[in-house]
Amino acid sequence: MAQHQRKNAAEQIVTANRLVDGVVVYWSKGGNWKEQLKAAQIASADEAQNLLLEAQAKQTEIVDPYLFEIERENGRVIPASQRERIRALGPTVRLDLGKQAGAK
Amino acid sequence: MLLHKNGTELKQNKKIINWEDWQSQNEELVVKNEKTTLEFPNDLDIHLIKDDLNYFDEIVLNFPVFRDGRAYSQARILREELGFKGILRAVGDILLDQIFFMRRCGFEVFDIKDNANQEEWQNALNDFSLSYQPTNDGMKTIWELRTQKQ
Amino acid sequence: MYRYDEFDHKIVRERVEQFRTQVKRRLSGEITEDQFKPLRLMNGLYLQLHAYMLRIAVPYGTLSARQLRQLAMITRKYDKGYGHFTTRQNIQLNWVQLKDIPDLLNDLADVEMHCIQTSGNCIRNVTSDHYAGAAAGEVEDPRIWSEIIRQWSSFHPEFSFLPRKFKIAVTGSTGDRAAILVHDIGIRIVEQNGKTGFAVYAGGGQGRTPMIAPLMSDFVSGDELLPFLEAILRVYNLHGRRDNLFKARIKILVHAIGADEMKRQVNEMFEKIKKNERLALPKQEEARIRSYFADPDYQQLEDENIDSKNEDFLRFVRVNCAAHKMLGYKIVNISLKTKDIAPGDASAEQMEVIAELAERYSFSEIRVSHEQNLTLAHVRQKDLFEIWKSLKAHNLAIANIGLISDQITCPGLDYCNLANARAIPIAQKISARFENPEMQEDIGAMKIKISGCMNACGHHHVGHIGILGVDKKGTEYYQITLGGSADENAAIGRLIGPAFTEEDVVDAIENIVETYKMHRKDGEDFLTAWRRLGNEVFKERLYASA
Repeated sequence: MAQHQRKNAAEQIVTANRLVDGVVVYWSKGGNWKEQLKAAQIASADEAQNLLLEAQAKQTEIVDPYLFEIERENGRVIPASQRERIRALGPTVRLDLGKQAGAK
Repeated sequence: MLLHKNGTELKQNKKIINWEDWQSQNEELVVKNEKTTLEFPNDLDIHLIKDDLNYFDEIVLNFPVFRDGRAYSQARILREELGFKGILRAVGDILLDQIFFMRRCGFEVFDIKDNANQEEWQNALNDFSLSYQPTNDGMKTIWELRTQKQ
Repeated sequence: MYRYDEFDHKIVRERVEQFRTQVKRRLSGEITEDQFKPLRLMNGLYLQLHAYMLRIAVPYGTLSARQLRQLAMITRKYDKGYGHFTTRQNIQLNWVQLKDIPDLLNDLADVEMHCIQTSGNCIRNVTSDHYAGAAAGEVEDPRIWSEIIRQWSSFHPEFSFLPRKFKIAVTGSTGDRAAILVHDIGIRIVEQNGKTGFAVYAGGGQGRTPMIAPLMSDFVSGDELLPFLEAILRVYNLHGRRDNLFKARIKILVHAIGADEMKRQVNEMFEKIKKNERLALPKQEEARIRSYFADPDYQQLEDENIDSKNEDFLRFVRVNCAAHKMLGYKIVNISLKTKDIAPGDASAEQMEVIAELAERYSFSEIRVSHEQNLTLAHVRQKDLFEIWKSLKAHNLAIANIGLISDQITCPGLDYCNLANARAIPIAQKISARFENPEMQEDIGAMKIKISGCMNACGHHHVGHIGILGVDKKGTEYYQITLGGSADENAAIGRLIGPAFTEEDVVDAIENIVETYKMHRKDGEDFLTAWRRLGNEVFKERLYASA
């Protein structure tokens, strides 16, 4: 998959798709997979690989976990790449679909 | 586990000669008049052994990764073009869902994991009761069945 | 159109049951994703950005009204009430769930549909001309042979693990509406000395390295077609590259060894394979399949003078309706390209409206074009006005077929895992800029094709104007090519210069159009003008101030 990530990404999050329904999920502070980006555990550059390993150990309910970079904007955590922003919200051309619509 | 296409497990301990050894030893083996089990690589032209088929009672063909489907063609060439009548064995990365196709291409023995669920694999050998394409496996094609019915 | 017999039904149901077991084993954790992935791909199930995506096969782009209605129902039951028609005449659903797939496949099987081999390294949907059986000048209906090839290629035991995907297209006339020359195998039905046969091309494709397919044989007879195809596939299966995913298509092999050597190897293989008489299609079987594509029950009519004061309706007839081989009939194209929707998308309601119209006015048949529009192939001219009114009420009467706003567009970064940039918003912006119908007709024939990555699912290489979205350091940019063509004079477009930002690309298109209008002679269309002028004048205009 196309991943847009700088080599020295400062802060990262682990994401995957849920096996049973394909919904985008994030590895959360509680040690499980959550749908909301804001629940995601943020890892520093040093911690990132470990976080990924931790998430990969809990792989039965998800597919293809990987790390992506986040930025902070006005205190909010947002993905650094266009691709991950779209994954978090939904298609930019159908604002009535995806997580941005408040639906699942 | 060596699974036969009739669903049974084979207990075998045959010596398998690989391609390099065959090339260096073939004169001896021919003189001894012993039939050999040859493992042929999947990235060479199977026609290289077309004149030697009588020396093999079994040929082993390789699927280095399940995605690499060259041996399906090698098997069909052996069976349908070159008329090989000995045993064809499939080894390598074999998925359950592939052995039906392998069987159709002419394989009759499958080297699968020791802890495989034999019943599941037996069932997979007959995943489909119908087929569109003619191979050497004796299965009538859908086209032939249709023409018969008329 | 073709109707399944008990054998076709049974083999599809067996596949559905096989996949149901595979899904169960995956959900229970018995098999890993690595083991499951090739299986789900062979059933057309992808994992995309937001969810799973299911690609449903529409063999050679032909649907019955009943099937289209069932698709509408399925989009409501399992998805979000819409579907996307693709450049391979298939339909995609973007929001399906793995656990629902076995039931969904059963609902499809109920109307003789499936998702078999719409993905994976196997032979994919055979595509064809959406005017098949309706336009004049056909040697024979290409769908007869598309159906024969479909059956031959379904669950082929030897060719299910090819080096890469394999796409076949068939056209029945010299005019190519199926883009056969940019397919792995392209087939044209021809006539030689009073006999019908096939010109067969192999090694075309787009993607990173676009190529026009060279000719493998200028005449293969009906009996020989399947052995010949089998020979090409076997040469490819044995010698296509396995070490590099990006160099694994047959076009790379043909390019590497040369067309002449490829022909030689294919012929050598062909001579051996054709000895197997069982591979020749039985004559009764050919006749049986042929009978499904006989002419519908046409009425004996005269051509009508379309008499109306309604400008919109007249424009619809002028732009969207093509000549039919029968007097008194027309081919009606339904555009799925407005600025408000993703190109090629249709809602469940729209599908139902079209199914209804097909039932009433077009022998219950609908065609899907590889240009992502729908077609009613056999419409009486006297029914055009009623049809137009219904279409208009559902936003389906946009008169832009073949014009600048009729763009082929891939799903791009809004949906697709492979994309580098979004494509749909660009198409929508272009549509908005060129919305004016008079302006569009004045510009004339113009095929813009947009891809969001190098895989070229939007066919940008063969657009008159091609747009390729790229990612430069996290920002989306758009490269423009000119002069591509997907018809019988197929050509790959030529890059015009540095890429444009999302903000600038629509202005760039406008500049290209202005330049064309300035330089065109004697009413020549854009492609003809470009073939005369080349890229220079356009480059000057676009990069003048740079």
